[in-house]
Amino acid sequence: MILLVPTSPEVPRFHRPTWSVSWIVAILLIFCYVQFYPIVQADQDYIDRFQELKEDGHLKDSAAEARYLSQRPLLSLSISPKSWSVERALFSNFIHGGALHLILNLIGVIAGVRICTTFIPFLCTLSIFIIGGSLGLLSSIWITTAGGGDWVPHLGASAGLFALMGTYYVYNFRFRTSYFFWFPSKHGHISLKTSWFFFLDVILLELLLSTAQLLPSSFDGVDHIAHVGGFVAGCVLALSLRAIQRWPSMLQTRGEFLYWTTFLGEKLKSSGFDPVQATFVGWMELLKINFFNDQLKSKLARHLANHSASFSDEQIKAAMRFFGPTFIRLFPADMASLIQALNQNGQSLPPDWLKRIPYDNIIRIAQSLATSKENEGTILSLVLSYQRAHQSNKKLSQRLEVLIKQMEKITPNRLQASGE
Amino acid sequence: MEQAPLNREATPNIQEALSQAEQEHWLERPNAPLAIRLASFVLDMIFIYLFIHGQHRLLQALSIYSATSNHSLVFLLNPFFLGFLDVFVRTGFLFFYLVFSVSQFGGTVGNLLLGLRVIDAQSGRTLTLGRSISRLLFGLSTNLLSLAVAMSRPDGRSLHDLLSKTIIKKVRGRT
Repeated sequence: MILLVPTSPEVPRFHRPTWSVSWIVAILLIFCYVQFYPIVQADQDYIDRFQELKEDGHLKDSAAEARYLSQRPLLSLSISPKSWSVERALFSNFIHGGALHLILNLIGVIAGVRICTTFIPFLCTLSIFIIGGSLGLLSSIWITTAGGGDWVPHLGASAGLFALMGTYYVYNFRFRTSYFFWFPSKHGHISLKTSWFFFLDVILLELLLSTAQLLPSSFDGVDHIAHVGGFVAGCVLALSLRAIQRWPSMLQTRGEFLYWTTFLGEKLKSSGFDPVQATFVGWMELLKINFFNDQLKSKLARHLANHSASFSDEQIKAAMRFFGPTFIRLFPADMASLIQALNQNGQSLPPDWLKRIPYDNIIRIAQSLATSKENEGTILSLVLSYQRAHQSNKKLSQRLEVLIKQMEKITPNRLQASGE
Repeated sequence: MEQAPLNREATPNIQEALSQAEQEHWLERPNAPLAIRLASFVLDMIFIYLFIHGQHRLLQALSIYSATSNHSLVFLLNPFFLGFLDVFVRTGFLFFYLVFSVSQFGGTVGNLLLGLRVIDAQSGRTLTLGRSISRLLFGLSTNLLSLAVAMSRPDGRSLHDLLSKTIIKKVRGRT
């Protein structure tokens, strides 16, 4: 038995979503379930009576059956392909056909609302849940092929839940998600690219199943088209909201966005009118708020590489603190161009940074630099600096010595590269 | 575990030297613990099930549609063609997932998610397609015996890894 559960976007502790607001939606769903339980029960009895009448031969043709089914009690609250209204479409998100249906959706909705409030205010989240869910349900009743399901109610919070999922992917697609994992010998948190699970969750799970549902014969009682419709609606709504908010693509959390729109202008004024320094200050300030934001780190690395001569050693040192092992594994080319630029200007790499970077990171940067023959000196210089920083680690130092000797045979310019 | 030293003398360029350094680095990483390997196996089974279940349902629905529809092009969806498509898509997916990804990316999705890497036990290189296929065949033919061997060995290597001269290393996290 193993578990891999998404818990939050990978953000600093003080940006993590809280549980409190998601309970409001949960309580709303439970309240609606309790309030309208008699109607759900009456609908169940109505359908049982329909089966009896059909078996006894009282309903002679399909027209009589349709007349009988059109009076289903649940259709006063929810929608079906032959009977729908916008009000009932909105209300369908809060109606559930049974306790199990409710519990499964509650888990998803609590997690979905909680996770989305990292990016957008609660009222926006709730609006996306209701509007996206309703559009999902409506798309399902419009698309589903006509047949035996003309009077089957389409209800439940799952389409809204998928709308929240779409919102999450729009806001966090380029970043990582933190997952809780558990298996017998170990448990903890692991951060994985959100885009990977987008393909697994959405493409693998739902698109194939909903395509099957487009055809006349349905295989299960799950409304997969409403899920996909809700997901698409959620994505569209979230993209529209982002456009209205003018949310820059490199910002991850709401905290960064609020700082960007409210405080950053003042901060930049204090750094003068130098656009190179102002940009540097801007990225650094935002990274102080969210040091997991790899998009910002990438921008900062490229900015430093393009204008390396404009920055002091102290500024370089302060910026390099943000370039950790995970960032280097994901963006080795950005780091390679930065190191190349620093080497060209004769600026040294901060020893503190070199000390905390693992060996495989250096190899990755070097491999990225090795795409051009002109960088051989930079690679040698990088490995030499790394060796100097890790002199206390005998084993690593020996290994690096072997690599340096090997490279010296290929590039006989060690002295020139190291500046000795 | 004793590792044969790599032949560094024959290195023709920097990229080769760096690749060799990286391969040596992989070899020095700890062997993947059995619990993590089992977890990655379960993850792989879940992903494979999701895909195969989904595509099977889709083809099943197409089959019913072809039997009931009057559309002029429905003859394309005859049972023979759909059966062929089912086997073709499934085999293609399994080949990509279990063989190609191991040789191209160093592991299946489950392996990569949990920071594991399948490499040659001697050189540290990723496997060729042929080695990847043979490893899979050894795995399929020895399955439970392979697990028993892994549980009984201190280094945790399974029988199909021993037969195909491969090893799974834990490449993420501290040693």
